Amino acid sequence: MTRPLHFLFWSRINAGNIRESLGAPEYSYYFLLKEFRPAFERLGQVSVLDDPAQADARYDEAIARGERCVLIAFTAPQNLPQPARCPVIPLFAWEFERIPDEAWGGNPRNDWRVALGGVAAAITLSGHALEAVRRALGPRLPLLAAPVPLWERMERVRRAGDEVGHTVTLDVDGAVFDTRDFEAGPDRLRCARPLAAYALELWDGRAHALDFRLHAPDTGALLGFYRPEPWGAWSRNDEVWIALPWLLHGEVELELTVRAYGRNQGRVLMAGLGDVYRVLRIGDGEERHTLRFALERPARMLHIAGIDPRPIPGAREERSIGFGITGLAVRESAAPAARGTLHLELHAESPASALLQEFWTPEGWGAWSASSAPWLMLPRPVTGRVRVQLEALGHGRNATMPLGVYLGSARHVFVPGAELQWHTLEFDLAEPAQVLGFTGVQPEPAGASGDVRMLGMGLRSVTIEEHTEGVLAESVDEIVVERDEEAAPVAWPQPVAAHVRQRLVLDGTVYTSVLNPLDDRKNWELLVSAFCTAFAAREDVTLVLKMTQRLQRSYLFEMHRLLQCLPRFACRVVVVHGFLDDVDYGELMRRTDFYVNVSKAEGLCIPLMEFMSCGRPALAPRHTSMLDYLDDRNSIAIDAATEPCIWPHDERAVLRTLQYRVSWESVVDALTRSFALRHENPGTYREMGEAAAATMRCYCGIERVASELERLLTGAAGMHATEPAPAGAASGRKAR
Amino acid sequence: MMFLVHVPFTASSIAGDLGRADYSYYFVMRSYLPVLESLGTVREITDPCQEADACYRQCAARGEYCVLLCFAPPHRVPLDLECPVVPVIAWEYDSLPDTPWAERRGTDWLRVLAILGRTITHSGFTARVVREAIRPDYPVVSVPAPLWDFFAPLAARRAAIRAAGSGRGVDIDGTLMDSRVCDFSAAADTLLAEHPPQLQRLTLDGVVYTAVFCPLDGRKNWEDLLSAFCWAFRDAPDCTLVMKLVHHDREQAIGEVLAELRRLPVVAARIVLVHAYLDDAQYADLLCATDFAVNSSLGEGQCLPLMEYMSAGVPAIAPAHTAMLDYLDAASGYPVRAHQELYHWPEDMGLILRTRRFRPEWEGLRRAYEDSRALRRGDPQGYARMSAAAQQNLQRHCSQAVARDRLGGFFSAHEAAIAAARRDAPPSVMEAPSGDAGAAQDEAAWRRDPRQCGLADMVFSGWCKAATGELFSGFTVGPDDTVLDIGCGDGLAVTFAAQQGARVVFCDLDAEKLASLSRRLDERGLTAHGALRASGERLPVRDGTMTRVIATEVLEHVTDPRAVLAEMVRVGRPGARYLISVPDAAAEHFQQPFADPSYFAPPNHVRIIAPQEFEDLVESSGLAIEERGQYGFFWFVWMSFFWATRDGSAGTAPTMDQIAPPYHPLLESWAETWSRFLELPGAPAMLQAFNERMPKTRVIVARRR
Repeated sequence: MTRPLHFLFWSRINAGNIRESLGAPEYSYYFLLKEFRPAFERLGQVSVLDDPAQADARYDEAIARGERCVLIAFTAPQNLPQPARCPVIPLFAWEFERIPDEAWGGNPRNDWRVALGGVAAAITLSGHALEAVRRALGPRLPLLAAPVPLWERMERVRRAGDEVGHTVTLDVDGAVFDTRDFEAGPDRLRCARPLAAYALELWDGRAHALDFRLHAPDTGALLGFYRPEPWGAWSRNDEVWIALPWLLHGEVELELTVRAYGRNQGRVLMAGLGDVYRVLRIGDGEERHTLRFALERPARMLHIAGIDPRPIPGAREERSIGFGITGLAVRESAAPAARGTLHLELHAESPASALLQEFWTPEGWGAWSASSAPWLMLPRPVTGRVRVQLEALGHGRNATMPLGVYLGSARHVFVPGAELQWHTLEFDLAEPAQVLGFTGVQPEPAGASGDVRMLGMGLRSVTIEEHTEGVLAESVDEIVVERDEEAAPVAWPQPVAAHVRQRLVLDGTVYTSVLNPLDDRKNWELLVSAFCTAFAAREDVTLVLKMTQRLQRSYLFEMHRLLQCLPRFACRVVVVHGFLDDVDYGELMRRTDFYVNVSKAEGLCIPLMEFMSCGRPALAPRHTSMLDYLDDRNSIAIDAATEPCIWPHDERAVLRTLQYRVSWESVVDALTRSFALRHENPGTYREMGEAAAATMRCYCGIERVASELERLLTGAAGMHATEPAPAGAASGRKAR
Repeated sequence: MMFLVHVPFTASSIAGDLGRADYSYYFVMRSYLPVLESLGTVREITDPCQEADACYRQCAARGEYCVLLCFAPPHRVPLDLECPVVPVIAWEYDSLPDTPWAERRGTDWLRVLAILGRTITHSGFTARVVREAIRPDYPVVSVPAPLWDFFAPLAARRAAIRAAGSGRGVDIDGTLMDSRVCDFSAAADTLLAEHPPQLQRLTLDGVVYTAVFCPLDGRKNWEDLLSAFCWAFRDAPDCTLVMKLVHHDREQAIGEVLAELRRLPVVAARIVLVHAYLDDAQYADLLCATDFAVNSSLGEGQCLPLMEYMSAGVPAIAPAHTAMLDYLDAASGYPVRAHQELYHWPEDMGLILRTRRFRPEWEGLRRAYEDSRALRRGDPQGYARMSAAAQQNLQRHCSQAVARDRLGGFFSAHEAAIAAARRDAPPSVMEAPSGDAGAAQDEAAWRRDPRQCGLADMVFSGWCKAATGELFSGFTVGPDDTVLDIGCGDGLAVTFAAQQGARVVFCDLDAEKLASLSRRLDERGLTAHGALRASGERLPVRDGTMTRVIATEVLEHVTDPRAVLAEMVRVGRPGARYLISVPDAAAEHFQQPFADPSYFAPPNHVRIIAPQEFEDLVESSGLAIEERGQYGFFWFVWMSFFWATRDGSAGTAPTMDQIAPPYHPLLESWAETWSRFLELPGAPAMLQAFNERMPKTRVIVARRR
């Protein structure tokens, strides 16, 4: 009778540290562990180790109980634990043609031939990887290529049926970046719903810096600039933006390293963050300017306006340059005294009119006071030397009477006049004040027929500036105030986390890809540019990119660049950056017409397998692990051919192996053909989906995987049914 | 024939300019000289704006054909000359820049080439791109640099060297780094210091691959040819790759290549870096020592090194795209499959992805290396055949005989076009009303010819006032204007505008009309024009580029007048002026019972536009109406009589610019009557009254807000 099997599972990432590890290189191994567990459980008992050092102790216990025991290590070979007695079987993914067969960095185990020297057997996720290991290690080591057994767990989605062709609504816990919300071109990039597109990044309050010189990754944040040069980048239009990767809030200081060209030297430029603008005047040469902003609502777009882009006649420089930037640093404001300007419009449409107290309902032009002491609450306290500008008028005898104005405890007097005009008053506040009020108003009947109100003073707008010792706007007139596009005020939680739920509506023909944008092999930019070329003229087709990466800024710059640099397209690209629960993810799967993969190399591609398991045909290149399950019946092929590449974890970044160069032209062609298939040949399309499911049933059903594992274990060293194992070495046993 | 040639670079700056992007223009110009000299007289000029027109006028005075050949990218070609200018351009992308950037109008190459009227380039690929961009019959010819005759003789020397088994080598006066003695993993500074420029001999053996490129030129994609070599010949010590680096900055050039070499595994094959200026003899030595030329670029306007090597019988490994499509095939080398990818025009500072370039398959390069080595070592006859095929292909591609043929044909066609236009030109509009329309005109005949009378009538009705520059009352055209005429017909408006000094773009669906109008304009020396074959509903013109837009007798022909107006508005700059005319509705209704049915069917008048509807159409498209006018009583009657004389017999209905003799005596009589009327002193006032009462055409002058 064969002795029962006891599996010890271990991976570097475990349930305890998964949260911090999102997107880290070993991250997916944790999920592999979870995915394979059911298959192993059909063969024996599974225990998960927190620490590989426990392996030998647990092994001894198992042997004492009369069990066979083996450590299944879900990790890359260079990280394999080396217990003294317990046999080890690594389970790992590998995408390239050659496994590392050199040692570097003083670590001999970087050479996988060494790292795999002592194992009992090895499990790779694909036949491609198995062959690479075989070529390097020879015929003796027992090897198995086993896919993740996910067929059964997709049953719930399969049972729910098809949503293809219907409109579905998904709830995303995070951000949805939808190209339909953007107005993009070479010299503009405006988002209609910035809160929906960029909701997840909040500033941690720490100091950060952005570098805009040639080859720096931050240059993607620049909108409206010329190609970056070794020193930095020049503006191309009369206004530019820098899309900061953080949602800044509160008291913020930006230090800009800038320069100006031609007519812009000495010119008043406006630098705005959200709805707060500061004057920026740059002289000759490179200068550092510190701008302080008191942000009442979180903002992330730094806007520089007022640039004169006209070239100087006769100058060698022919480009329309004006404003140049080398870098910027952001930090919490050190001096809270510099607060910026408050500008309150008090007419009916403006939200600030809600601050008025003891005024009649605001009208289109402004608001009339209702009592003899009307006042308003400022949105935040002000202090120090404060300049107040009122746009006011008086009704009846109030026009020619002196009225009292107070801000906190400081007082002034002014005569409103019969027509709307500006009045400037300076206050010296010893302590912060938040109430601006008027006294001595004498209400009189309105006078117009049908108007029963008693009116005193009319107010249209109030502008309040706090003086600092630094640069201040020359005059209030120069300040341009823009409301954020979403006019309704939002109640912002304290900046710890921003959980905003977005609704995503999908209709038309849907292509989906699930990937980690930081993984260069995924090639997502190629997919987006090919998609937007293939469907440039079609409105009824959508590409959904589900990003499995915590940091939105890791790919946002590239996304902006594509939006600006691609020729105009009518199709829709939606980037889902957030969490979809199982139900919504299942709905996405059922709504998808085609799953697309354009990777240069794949260890397995679990999302592709999941979608195919639900009957969704694929567009993918036929290489690496995908060769195990893609064929002409269940997928449309994309051309790819080899090119040299590095081992991803090799810090020397030297070219040692091969990945695949995917043909952009072929992706465009495959997308076009797939669309035609879907709509002109629905029968064939349905057959393709059915073939995809059928392939997956055979390929990654748990029964098959379990029986393959069993076969391997029988032949693995130290796993013989009746004898205990020699100390963890590959003995001379024949491989099965 | 007189050829003025100009290139913005001079011999004195060559050594310093080596490797700069436009260096090859200078080389191409020099290679053209012998061929041009066999066709006519050549004069190199340094400042076209000063020198070209004077020369042209001298030639025109003695009836000699004169043309300025500008070896430069289109945005550097002068557009304001009287002398006809033909640009000689190289281009490797699959579309032409058609967007002006910044304020530099010349960077809209589509417009520049359309205005200049004809172009010379260096590959069939580029010629096709130009034709696709402008129009299918645009005169563009591919004349690659005629260098075959200089390099072909080297083939014999190559063969002799191999037959004799004598050593191959080349003297290098510069920097040489050889993997047999050099450790490429050392720091770049160290290597550069250890290998200072000096005179030394490079001895070559085995199978020698040579690549000539600028390592700082991203288009060359040299990393692929280097890494593919390393992969193919990891264990082949008998293979050598010579990389001849072309770039003025030694440290930068070599540094780039060394950085890439550090990433590659160490291989048994030999890798040699050469950075030196090679004189003709040394260049020939390197060529003779080479077995295969290698290129892996993303696009070539014309690849001079490949052409030189193949002319001397060196087969090539190169991508099958752009210029190489003309001469590289499986018989003469190893064409490598390439795939399109999105890219931006090199001058486009915005990096907008509006064009395509072509990336060769790395795997294809690697296989080509392996196959070529096997051929060279194992099949000497096969190699000899490939060598001969390379030579023959290049002879057909770029020998002086072929260049002379193509250039000769091109210039002869141009000369003939100019002469034909001179012969066929209708009399200048200005000549008609005064009556003294040149010695050749018979006054009586003039009175009877409805075309002449019609022209005179138009001028009296407010058209074509050259003195004030008004094409129609209130619609001036001057030298600062860029004019678009949609449905240009016989080009009356276009000619006037061009004579006023404006740049004119004219558009029609009839290619013949476009061609003949172009010729006629060329002949008059009005060269700032361009022809577009397009429908008004989709104009291949950028937004806001036109200051004057003319659409006379167009809207009644199109299926969707709103769409055409929308396009017209789109291409107009704010403040641009529009001249739009349609047949008067009453006149149309009058004719309906009498006219041939085809007159009111496509492609003729498909709708009758009432005056109010006309105004609404114009206003609702976003234009502000400034002037309204009507004219054409003469034509009203003429057309009515025309139908009367046709007597219901079938036939194609004429448009006013298509009428031609012989005319029915009634029509000639009416023309004569009207001509006599126009000669009377009181005619203008009564003419205006007639035109108001029974016009044939309604005109609106409008402004874009």
